[in-house]
Amino acid sequence: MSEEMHDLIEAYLDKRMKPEEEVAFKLRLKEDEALRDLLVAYRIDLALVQHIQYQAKREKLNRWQPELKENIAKRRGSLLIKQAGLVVASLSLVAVALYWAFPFLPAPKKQPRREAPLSDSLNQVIANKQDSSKDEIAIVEPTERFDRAKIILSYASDAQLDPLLSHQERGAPSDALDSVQQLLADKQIETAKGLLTRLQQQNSPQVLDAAMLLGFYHFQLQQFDEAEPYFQQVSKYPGYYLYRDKAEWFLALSYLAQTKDEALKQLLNEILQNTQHIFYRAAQQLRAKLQK
Amino acid sequence: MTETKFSEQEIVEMLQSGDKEEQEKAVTGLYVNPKFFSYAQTVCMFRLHANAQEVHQEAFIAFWSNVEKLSFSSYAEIAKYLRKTIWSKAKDQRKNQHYDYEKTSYGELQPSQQEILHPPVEHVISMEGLRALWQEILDLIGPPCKEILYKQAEGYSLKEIAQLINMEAAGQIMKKKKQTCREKLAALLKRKPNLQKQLAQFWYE
Repeated sequence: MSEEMHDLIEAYLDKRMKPEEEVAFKLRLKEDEALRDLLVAYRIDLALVQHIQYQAKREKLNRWQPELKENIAKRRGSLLIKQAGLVVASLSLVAVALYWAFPFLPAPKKQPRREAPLSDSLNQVIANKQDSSKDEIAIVEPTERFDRAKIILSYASDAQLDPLLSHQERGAPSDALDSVQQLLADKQIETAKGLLTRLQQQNSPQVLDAAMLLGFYHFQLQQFDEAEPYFQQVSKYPGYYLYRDKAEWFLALSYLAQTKDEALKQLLNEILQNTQHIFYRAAQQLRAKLQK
Repeated sequence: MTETKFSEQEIVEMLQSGDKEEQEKAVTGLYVNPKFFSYAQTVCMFRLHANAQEVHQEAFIAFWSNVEKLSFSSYAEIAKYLRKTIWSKAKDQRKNQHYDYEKTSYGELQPSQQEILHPPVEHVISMEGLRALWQEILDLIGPPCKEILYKQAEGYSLKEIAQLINMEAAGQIMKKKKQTCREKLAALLKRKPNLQKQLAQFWYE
């Protein structure tokens, strides 16, 4: 191969050729196989130099591999703690976000409440009242959304006529009423009932008072079914009567004790129509509890 | 082993100095920094076939080769450049592996399926294949030519190489010797048609 060929290729690779020289060189390249082979050899020569440089750099970097591994191990230790913290934080954030974003997620199942018989519950409350050392709330297990026995007991002290007020209203003491009170105190219930029947037959004005007393008597003995007709009698009285509001309220409590909820709701609605009713507020509260 | 722990400012200054030894120190300082390796791992995690260690090393060799042509004013610029290189190397590696897969699975598929799913990619030569090829040629050209090539790779000119091996008429004789080596290489390619074909694929396809 001639010196001229080498010069040509070197000039071409170093880009020292003029455009017309370059075109001529490329034309010659197509025809001259030896020139083509020599150009390939030049290119391989350059590629080989680059390849040797590459291998040398690779070997040098390989020598630093142990130190790199050591540094990675050091970094991994501290990173693991950070990553664990990040994972915990992000998981809790996601949980909170899900809780707020999807309120329709199934709520935990509530245990169905046991329906205990009312009389048992009431007895328990009364027993707790008598034994002041016991904690009432802790012992009485709630059997419903609200405790019927507690409500009834809270009105137990009101289950009586106000003697002062009744004297003022009547203007004169009543023998028949005193007799009923005395008979009830002696627990002669049948005689008291007979007296009441007689008063009704005589159409006496004290008949309502007597009925109230009998109603209260049965109420305090937890005989709600027997107390109910007396309170009904008073509440249905067409004329004015001082204790009508009280009779209506105790009738409602009797319904409550016997779980006659429909009748109770109807009666409460009637009470709530009269804003002047003395148990208006209590009736409102009771209806709200029933609706819950 | 030399010191590899340098501050960010020191690394920038060493790369800007233009001194090859200083640049090499800076590159090793960056190479042993585990942050870049972690980045390579992260990139390879998304590109499942890529090997993080290989990608990391390839990126640093490319950075080292180009460091003289580049100019960095801050460490942030260096880090950005390295991350970019790691990303592109991971991409290349996956591409090569993809081609390898196509080649190896060619015989296993039916021709009709093959045409539809994987068109043949025989003309592509992977980087690994190319390196093996260079090594094969290096082994064939003989020790004198190989020695000159190694000296050239270290950055010596032909004149300097002649002085190193005590040649009197330095430049000219060395030039002639180099030309002879290239002619020998051309003759070698003539004798090895397979080698020539592979190279032709690499340059002209």
